[in-house]
Amino acid sequence: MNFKLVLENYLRNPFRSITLSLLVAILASALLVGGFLSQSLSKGLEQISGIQSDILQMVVWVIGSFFLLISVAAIISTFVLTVREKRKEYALLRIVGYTQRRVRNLVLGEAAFVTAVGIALGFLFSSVAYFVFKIAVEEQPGLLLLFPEEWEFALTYLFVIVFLLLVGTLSVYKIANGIARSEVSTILREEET
Amino acid sequence: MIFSISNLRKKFTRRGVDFDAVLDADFFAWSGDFIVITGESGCGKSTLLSMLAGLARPSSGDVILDGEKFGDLSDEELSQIRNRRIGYVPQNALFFPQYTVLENVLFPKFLRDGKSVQQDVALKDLDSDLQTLLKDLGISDLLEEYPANLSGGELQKASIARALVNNPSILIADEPTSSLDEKNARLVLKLFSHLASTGTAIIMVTHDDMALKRADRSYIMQRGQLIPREVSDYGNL
Ligand SMILES: Nc1ncnc2c1ncn2[C@@H]1O[C@H](COP(=O)(O)OP(=O)(O)OP(=O)(O)O)[C@@H](O)[C@H]1O
Ligand SMILES: [Mg+2]
Repeated sequence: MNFKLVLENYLRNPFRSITLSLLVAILASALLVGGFLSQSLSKGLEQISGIQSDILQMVVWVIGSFFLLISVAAIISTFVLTVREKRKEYALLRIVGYTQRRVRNLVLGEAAFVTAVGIALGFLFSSVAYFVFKIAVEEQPGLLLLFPEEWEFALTYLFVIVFLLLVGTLSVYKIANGIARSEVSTILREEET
Repeated sequence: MIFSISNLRKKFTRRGVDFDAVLDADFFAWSGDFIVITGESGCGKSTLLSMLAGLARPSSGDVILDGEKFGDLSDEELSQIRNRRIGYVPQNALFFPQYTVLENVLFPKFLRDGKSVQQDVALKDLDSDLQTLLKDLGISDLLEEYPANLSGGELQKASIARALVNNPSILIADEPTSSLDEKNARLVLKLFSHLASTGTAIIMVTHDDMALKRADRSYIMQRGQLIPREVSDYGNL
């Protein structure tokens, strides 16, 4: 029943759900495109040797980590805010007989679902962007750009899936536990934020 | 059914200082008892009720339902009691905004039966007791609406219906008539009396004097203490 509730909550709050998924989608596409570009760039740089290329490689990595950090922060803050907004509904679930564990799993499940939809959308966006880009590049024979191998593609996709699912779900882990475990009466007393 | 508390206490900390919102409360209810608790704002009524409903843990003492101490029960067992045996009407109406009034009212029942929320349930599909309840409360025309479109009083009545949907043995209601006009308040009290006569224990917090007249027993709360009201007090209302 929990999964159906997750799905229903998603569909019955379409605006909120889609907004959150879109955020994840944007991050997913950014990570994918960023991942492919930095791989191409690294390949290109490998062909030039010397200190300069080492520094450039490092710059690529630093920028990459920076984007990762920003996406983590964006997901955590938005997801936590959304859950906080709904905490009285979770308290109501406890009143009518949900166990603590079930409430926690529901919060986690909702976050995971929003993230999964977002990742799927993100893959769609970035594939479209990538093919447009590829066609444009191939039409210009002078441009030297090395595309990543297939396994590198697969690895990047896998990384983005695992990374975002983990971040999306774990971002609400603490608040999910907090809501499930705190006294319902305390949540009922809280002012609306 | 017997429901009791002894030496129930709830301690809070405010600006670093401990104080007892509920102090050594003693009390019991049998099936069919209609119990009314009154008292000034902030004296601890809601805190007491939330412990009775298994929604807050006492700092000491225990709530006992048919020999089972809430403190000894697992979360699973206590949740099941909240679902099946206790109906709770919170002081401030609380609903799932994404469900219609009817879906909200039926939610505890779906949960009990292990079903997900069914859409497109119509009034005529419900069992006759429930239909009667919704009609008696005067909300049978509002069932397809979303909670956001109801008035405070209408929500309060829907909240009572939801608390009663699983035929609980105990109804715990925190100022259930606070948003109702006199006519509707009377209607709710009449319903509660009727429920008590069929064996439901009613434990109600209110500022409404009409409720005292219907009560089998009543208590007054003063700064966390629950004091039985003498029958002679009724004359001075
Ligand atoms: N979580 C908490 N932390 C600190 N103080 C609390 C907490 N919950 C309740 N209190 C305090 O305990 C006292 C009793 O609160 P409670 O809500 O039980 O009063 P009440 O009798 O229901 O009042 P009202 O008639 O206004 O609903 C109040 O002084 C309140 O401020
Ligand atoms: Mg109160």
